[in-house]
Amino acid sequence: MKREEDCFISQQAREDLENLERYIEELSGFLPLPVCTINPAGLIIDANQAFKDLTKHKESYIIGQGIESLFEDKKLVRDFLKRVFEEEKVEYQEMVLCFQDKCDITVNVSARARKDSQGNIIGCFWAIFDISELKKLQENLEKKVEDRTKALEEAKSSLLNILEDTEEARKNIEQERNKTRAILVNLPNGLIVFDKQGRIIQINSEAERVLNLKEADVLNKTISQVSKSPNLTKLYQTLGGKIEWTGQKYELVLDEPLQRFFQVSIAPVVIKKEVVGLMIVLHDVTRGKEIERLKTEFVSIAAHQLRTPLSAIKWSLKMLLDGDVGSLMPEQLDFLKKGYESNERMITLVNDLLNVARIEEGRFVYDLTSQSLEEIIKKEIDELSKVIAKKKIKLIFDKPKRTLPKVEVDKEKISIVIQNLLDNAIRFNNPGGKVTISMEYDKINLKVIVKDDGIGIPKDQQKRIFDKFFRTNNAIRLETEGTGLGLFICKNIIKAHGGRIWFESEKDKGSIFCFTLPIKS
Amino acid sequence: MLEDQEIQKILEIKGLVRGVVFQTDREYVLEEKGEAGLKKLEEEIKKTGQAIKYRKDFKTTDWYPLGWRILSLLVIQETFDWGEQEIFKMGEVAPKHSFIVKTILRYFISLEKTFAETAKYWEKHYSIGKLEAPEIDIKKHHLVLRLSDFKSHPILCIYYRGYFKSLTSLIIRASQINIQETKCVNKGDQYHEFVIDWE
Repeated sequence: MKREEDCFISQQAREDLENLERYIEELSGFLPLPVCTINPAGLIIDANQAFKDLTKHKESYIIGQGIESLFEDKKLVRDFLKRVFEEEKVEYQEMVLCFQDKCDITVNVSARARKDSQGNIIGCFWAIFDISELKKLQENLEKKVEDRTKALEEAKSSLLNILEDTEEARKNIEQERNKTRAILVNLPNGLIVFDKQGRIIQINSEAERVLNLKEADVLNKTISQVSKSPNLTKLYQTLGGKIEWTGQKYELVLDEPLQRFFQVSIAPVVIKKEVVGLMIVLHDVTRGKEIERLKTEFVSIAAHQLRTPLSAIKWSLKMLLDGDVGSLMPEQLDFLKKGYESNERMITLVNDLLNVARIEEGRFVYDLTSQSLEEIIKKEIDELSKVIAKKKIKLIFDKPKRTLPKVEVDKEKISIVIQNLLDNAIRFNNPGGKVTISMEYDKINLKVIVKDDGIGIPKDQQKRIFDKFFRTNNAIRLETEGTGLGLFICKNIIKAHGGRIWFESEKDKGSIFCFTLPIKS
Repeated sequence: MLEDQEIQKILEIKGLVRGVVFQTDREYVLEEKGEAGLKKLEEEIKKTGQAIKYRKDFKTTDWYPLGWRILSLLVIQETFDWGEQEIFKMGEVAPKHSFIVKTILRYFISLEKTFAETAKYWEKHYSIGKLEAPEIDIKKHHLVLRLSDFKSHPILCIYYRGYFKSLTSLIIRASQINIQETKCVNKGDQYHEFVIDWE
């Protein structure tokens, strides 16, 4: 009966035990930290709800398991347990928890030994703190840092490469710049470079010498701001008081210390299709000028000296041909005629050479008077009548019906022009060919047009037609005689009168030569 | 379904047991069969006409007929069509759910102490029977448990085999624990004897 009665556990003790059990169950269920109780053999003898939830094991599985069975590194767990029983408390040991064949939950483990009333170790409490998310975050951060570091390293490497390339490029640029500078410095022509605002940004040593100044004195200044150089001022005046790219060439004459002549040209400085400045090039043509002058002087002297004897030969032959000193046999007459014609050609050549010399020396004096161009043309046509008849050329003078205005011209010089143009139209024409000379006028200019259907001028030679001594190949073939000076003289005469001369031509089809003269001087 | 006669016979078995046993039965059924399983068990128990309860209003420290304890195991076995192995497993799991066992194990860490306490604990949980540990040889990995003055039902022998094996495994580390009932009162022996060996 005694054993059937509840003598050991009184009603109150029973209730206390039940309350204690309920309390412990409630506490265990509430506690968010996973905790288990381990005996000295390392076996789990109790675990709270949080522990079961974390390990995803039933109580029936966990209880009785060795604690190391739940972790990846068994040795670490055993060593840790040993330390707990030795040191009584160990905190924050990182371990990897396994469950369902996966070991990927990183946890922090803390444990504290348990003792009985005599102080003997009877096991320990084992608490787990899930740091897997923290770990993942840490790993992600570390990965990001690693990636960033790698990216930075790569960027650094790239930058270093770029730096090396830049340095290389800089050296190359420096080399090129030095080369360019050396070229500029040693350039035989003077060179002045301006920026967009007209300031001098570079001037080579030849320009310094020619203009008698130093680069340091003129850098970053406009020409108008530079007052100390008379030669520079003269250059500026030659350019018309402005630095502009027009394609025009100028002539600069400097008298100090010696007289020198320069051909001045202006060219744009272009970088990637953008004009970033202008440059003036001073080309010393003094020697060329001198040679030209000596040549002209020689020609002038020679021609002049030849004129007198040629005139004497002319008149002597004329007298013989006219029979003034007795009659001659036909063969004699024939030889004398040839001699006379040759002498005439020589005289023409000498005259042309003298005219050219005078033009080049500036001594081709113009005596301007009010003239009727129509009358001058008529006169020249009359003088060429024999040549026209000989070649059976049909020459038409297409006069306008209205009275033409008079022009202020040097009659002799304009006659030379008309005579040259008509002569060319006749001589470089086929027998039976046609030559038309016509006139037009407007308020400003009077225009003369000489048209032929002769041999024409080949396209590749048209540019040189007004050059001294130039004759086209087809002209030489047709007429071996000729000085090649006629059109050069015509151009100078027309230009001197303020007019313009030009032509259109096609080989074997003929040419049209035109010139204008201002109606008002 | 158990026959009424059989039930009656079981109910005639003398002895009382603490309510905690039904708690462990409940925990096991819930774990294995869930809430639906527990409900089914309750329905089957109801059919026996006995007021065995598995819910929280059941007092773990109150006394209940030993016959109910046996009936609970038999009805569970029949309800879920479990064999001896399952009953053995129930016995194995029981200490793991037992508040009292856990309490003992928290403070008694040796085989001798644990089974000494368990023997005391037996007296406090069963009104009949005496549990002793006449032989405990740690070096030889050998333990003998003897349960005398306890005539009940063979199903309990299966259950206790699991129970004692589990209890041993909660104290010592062994790669393998074997238990045999070398003597059984239901077979005519004087007492139940359980021999436990481990590696």
